[in-house]
Amino acid sequence: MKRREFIKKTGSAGVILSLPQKKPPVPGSVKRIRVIKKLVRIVVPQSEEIPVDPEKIGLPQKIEDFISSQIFFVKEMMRTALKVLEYLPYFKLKFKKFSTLSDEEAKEIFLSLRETRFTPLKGIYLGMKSIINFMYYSSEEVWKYIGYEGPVVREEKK
Amino acid sequence: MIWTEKNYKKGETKVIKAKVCVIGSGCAGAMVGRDLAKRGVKVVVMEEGPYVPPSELNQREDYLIPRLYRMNAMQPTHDYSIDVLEGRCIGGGSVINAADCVMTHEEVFKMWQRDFGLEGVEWEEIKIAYEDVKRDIRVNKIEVEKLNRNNSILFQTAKKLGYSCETFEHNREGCVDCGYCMIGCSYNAKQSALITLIPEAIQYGAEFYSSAFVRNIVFKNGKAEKAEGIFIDFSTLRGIGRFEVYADTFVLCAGAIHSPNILFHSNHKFPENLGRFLSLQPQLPVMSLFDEELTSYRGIPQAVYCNQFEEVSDKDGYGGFRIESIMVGPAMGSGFLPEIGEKAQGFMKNFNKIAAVLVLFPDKPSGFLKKWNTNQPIIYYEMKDELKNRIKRGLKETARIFLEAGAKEVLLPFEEVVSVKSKEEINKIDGIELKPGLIKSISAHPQGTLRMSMKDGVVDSNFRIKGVSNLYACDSSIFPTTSSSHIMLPIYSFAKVCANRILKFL
Repeated sequence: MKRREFIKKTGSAGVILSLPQKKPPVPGSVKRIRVIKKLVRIVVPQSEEIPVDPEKIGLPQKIEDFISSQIFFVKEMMRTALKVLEYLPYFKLKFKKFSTLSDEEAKEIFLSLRETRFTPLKGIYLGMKSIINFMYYSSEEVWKYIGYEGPVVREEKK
Repeated sequence: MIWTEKNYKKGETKVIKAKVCVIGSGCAGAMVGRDLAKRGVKVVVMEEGPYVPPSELNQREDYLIPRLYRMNAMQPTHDYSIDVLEGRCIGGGSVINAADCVMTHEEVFKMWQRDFGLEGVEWEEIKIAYEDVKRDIRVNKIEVEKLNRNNSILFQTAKKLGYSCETFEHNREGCVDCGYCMIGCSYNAKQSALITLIPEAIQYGAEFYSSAFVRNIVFKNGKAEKAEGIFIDFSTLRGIGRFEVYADTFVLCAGAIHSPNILFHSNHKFPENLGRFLSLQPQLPVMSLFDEELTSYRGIPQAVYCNQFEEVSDKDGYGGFRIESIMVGPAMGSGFLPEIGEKAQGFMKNFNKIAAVLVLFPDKPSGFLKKWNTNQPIIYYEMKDELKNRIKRGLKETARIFLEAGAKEVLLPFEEVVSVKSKEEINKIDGIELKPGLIKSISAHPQGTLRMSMKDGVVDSNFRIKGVSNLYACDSSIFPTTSSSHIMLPIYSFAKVCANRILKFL
């Protein structure tokens, strides 16, 4: 192969390779779980009070499954709430997604929602908090730390 | 027979024919269904929620609350101030209520007759129905010996302070004190419609369709012709197929939020007050922390009430407030937690040492429903200043009782931590601003959106929707104002009278 021909061929390949590659899309559930993981860390952290790691007991996935199992309009509202939360820091001039903030920053933003006069944002705070608490305190791993003995009937009934 | 998801074919439109179609299978629907079927009428009952038999009531909150409650017991008002709890399963509210039996006072009924023109409905008739209902669902009084520690704290302290305080009448028999009444009784001790009226109705030939969501009623020549809707697969919450129910008569028993919603989506012009005059009777949880272990989550959850501050008159109906003991499981209870993170966990760590009450505030009908989507209307409800003042009074009295009982700390129902640790601190409650959405409050007794009134109502005194001769309503939506502190008995009793009216006009 002549030098000129070689440069022509590899050069065009190089140009093609240097173009920004389209990344495969991240599934919605993965994006949502990132936000849920951050929420879980600030709403029900592993703490001295309750030394249970919410991620180890699969809480983020349980919450995602719970949201996915809702009736259409409820599911869509919850998913929209997670999206809004993910991009909310941009409106607060943080220029980072909610899921990439430090726990302290995320907590500050999340808590700011309860004081807002814009009712849908307040709804995001109250709704997410309720769902996370509900799923967390439904977990058997947590019960022994709060002095709850759990159901009397056997598990087979489920 | 109870039809379930397994019986429905995917993509099929099932056509059902009956003499009477009842929409909703809770207290009202089960009573009307049973009474009509008993008199030989061909009845079908369409229930939006699933059939959860006692064998599936496994006492697990994460499994049962999404199955038994509408919107996972998180159905909010427009500003998120109140979660409106409604049963959504075969048996409806009777499966998930606290089994408290409190009938409408005669004074209140007389006020209704005078102010709302309920000509044709007589107290004697209601009273006879009420006596029958008591037998049907086996109403009896809770014995003091059955009280758990949580209930005893309220009972003994209120008595000590000279307050009027009693044990409830309830509809349990052979209670084993497991404490899971609010997610369905695993032992058939609670005499819900699921084990009393519904089996009897089926025995007389009534058919119950579970997971059958009625979206609307189709009208033809001013009369209700058919109810349309979809069968729902509760494992995916997707539609399985459609149904059309043709009947001579339709009865709305879907509750004060959803009976009007069906009419919102139907092709008929209804009286203008459809969806108005909503009472929610807010209930505010107050928790208090004790040094000792109380194990409040075992035993009858709600067995005692203090009615020292309740007012009943034939002028204004119900007023004041009641203080009633309560306890639920940790998942449901976590909905009342203030704050997030370690602060909230600090409270839950003492779950076993918490005593709790609900302070119940009878309200004047001031809310309304707005058409939104076929599943859900928007519930508009604002707390008026008079109610806010009463709430503060109620919280102060409750704090006083708990502190007298020896509580270390009384936690008030707000999103931010507001607690009272001594009697001297009680007056700080006066200075609290009750901001929408930041008060923790529930409503287990929505009423009044299809008001029965000859003046400004939607339903006439024959239980018929005005202007439609073959459409009735008899759930909590018909009460002109709040009917009682606990609405199971009034609903059953009025539904029984309604069944008699339907028989008269069939």
